[in-house]
Amino acid sequence: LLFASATCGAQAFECAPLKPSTSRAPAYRPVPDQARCEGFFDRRVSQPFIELVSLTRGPWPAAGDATLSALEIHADTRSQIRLVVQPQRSGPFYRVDAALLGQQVLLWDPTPMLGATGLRLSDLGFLALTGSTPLPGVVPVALTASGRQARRADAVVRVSVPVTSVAWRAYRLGAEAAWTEAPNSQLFAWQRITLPIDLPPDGKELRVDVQAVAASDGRALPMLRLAIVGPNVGTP
Amino acid sequence: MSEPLSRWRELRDLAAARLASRLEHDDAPLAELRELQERLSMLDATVADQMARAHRHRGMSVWPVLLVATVLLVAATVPVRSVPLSLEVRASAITFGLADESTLASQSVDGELRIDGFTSLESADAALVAAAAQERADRIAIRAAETRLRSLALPAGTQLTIRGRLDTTELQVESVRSPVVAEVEVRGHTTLRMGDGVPTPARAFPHGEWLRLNVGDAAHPERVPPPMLVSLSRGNDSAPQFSGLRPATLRFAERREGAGAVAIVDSSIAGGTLTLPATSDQVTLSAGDWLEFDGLVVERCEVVAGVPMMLKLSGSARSARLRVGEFERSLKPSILEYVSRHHLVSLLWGSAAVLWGALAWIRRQFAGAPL
Repeated sequence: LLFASATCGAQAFECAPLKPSTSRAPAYRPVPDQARCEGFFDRRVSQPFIELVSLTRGPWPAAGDATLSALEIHADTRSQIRLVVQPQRSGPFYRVDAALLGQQVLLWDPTPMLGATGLRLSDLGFLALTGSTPLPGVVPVALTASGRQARRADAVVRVSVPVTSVAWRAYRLGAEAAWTEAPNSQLFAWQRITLPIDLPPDGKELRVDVQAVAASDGRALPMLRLAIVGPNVGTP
Repeated sequence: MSEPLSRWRELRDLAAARLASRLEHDDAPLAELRELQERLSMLDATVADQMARAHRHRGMSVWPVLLVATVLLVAATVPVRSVPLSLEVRASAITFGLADESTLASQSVDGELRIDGFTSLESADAALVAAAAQERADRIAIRAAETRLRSLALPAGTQLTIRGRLDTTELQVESVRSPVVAEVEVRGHTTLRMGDGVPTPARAFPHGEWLRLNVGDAAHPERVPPPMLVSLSRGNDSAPQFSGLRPATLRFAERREGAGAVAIVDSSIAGGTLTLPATSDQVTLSAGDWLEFDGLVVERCEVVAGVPMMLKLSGSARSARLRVGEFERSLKPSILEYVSRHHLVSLLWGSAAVLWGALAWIRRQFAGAPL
């Protein structure tokens, strides 16, 4: 397995299947000589959905830090992951995809993205995705050294249509799974909400379901289901 | 070409006449007669040589004709490799051969959702999992305030048959690889019936619950999973729509009541039109016609599963066959038919003909000159 992941890392990094923007620069494209793709893209929206835009653990770097030239991005896992950086807001459609080896630190300079989009650092969402499990596997991302030990993760989700409520649950398969109604969760379209998720101390997989009820017809949106991958996933 | 030959013939005739006239005279010296005879035989040889050359020329002028005839014959009999087509058909059942992995997008179910043939059930609700295990259920009927077939994941090499009935839409999945996975979400008051068991008491899922039904074992993708049947009830005015399918083959067949209690397989086509832009042909399909496509590359494929079902498809096919009664024919045009419809190609043909004529003329000029 180690060999397989090493081979994967040696191969060319594949960008996400996005349509590069025709109207804004820089358009989404591979960054030369790096396992990274970055830029603006065009987007089409079809059915209503809930999406995860960020999953981080621990504190963020101080917001006013003007000297910040490189974020130290770290994800505690054994698997090969894909880091996605995108705005937590509904726009602009700018996105970074980068290869990240678990338990290694990736240095990423946010200045070009912040400069091109006019966003603040706190508007950015960070996701570390694994290709494993039947569900999308997500590893909480630490942006500071102290965040790597944090026991709580912040999941930022947003909805594509107005909703009257958002509920979520974190559970293990086969165990009791109780829903929590998120406070103040009457949201506009593309509004985001942060869900605090306690990470299990054993470092194994945790399932999370997020559900929202559309304001228009009172029916539930398709559930957002994910698996939070810890450092001990894949060990007995 | 013929002028030098006739001159040689004249010379030869003259020589022959002269030899004959000299032979009549007894006093003609033998040396002279020998010289005349020698001369005549040399002229004979030259005439023979010239005639052989003329024959060869005539043979050469036949070659291009033969070549063109062969090319035309081949072009008229060999069909094009792939034929572009656009199809609009009404049918009661359509079978899609899906060469690649595909996923059917989310469908709202207005009423009951039945899934038959699953081998394992997963859910966050432990009671549901336990009930399925206890019943050893391979069949489930779900009725809830809100039901959604969230997705249906089909492995590569799946035959998916969609049948439109008055109150339900059936999806029959026959795959050669595992697993086929149906994801279902329910919300509100929910009744479930597992296997042959009695319906479970109504459960309330105020926030919803998910069920994952697997057919086959993900750990052994090479094993053939049992067939799966998904049946979606639908309201009066709603019809499930499936877009984004990328079939490689298409069949229109369904089982009908036959004589002697054995069902027969019949065409499911109710009507439609098939347009072949390559030859600007339009084929009208009638009820009972057999239509088969193989090697499809699909640009657009939309299914509205009402009664009858509507399929709109455009793309190209490596093989397209239509059978009406006892008559079967390929809908693929021959290369000749294909090129004859294309102006660009006729331009090429025209210029090729002119070029050939010019070359023939030049060659004649050179052939006429003495070597």
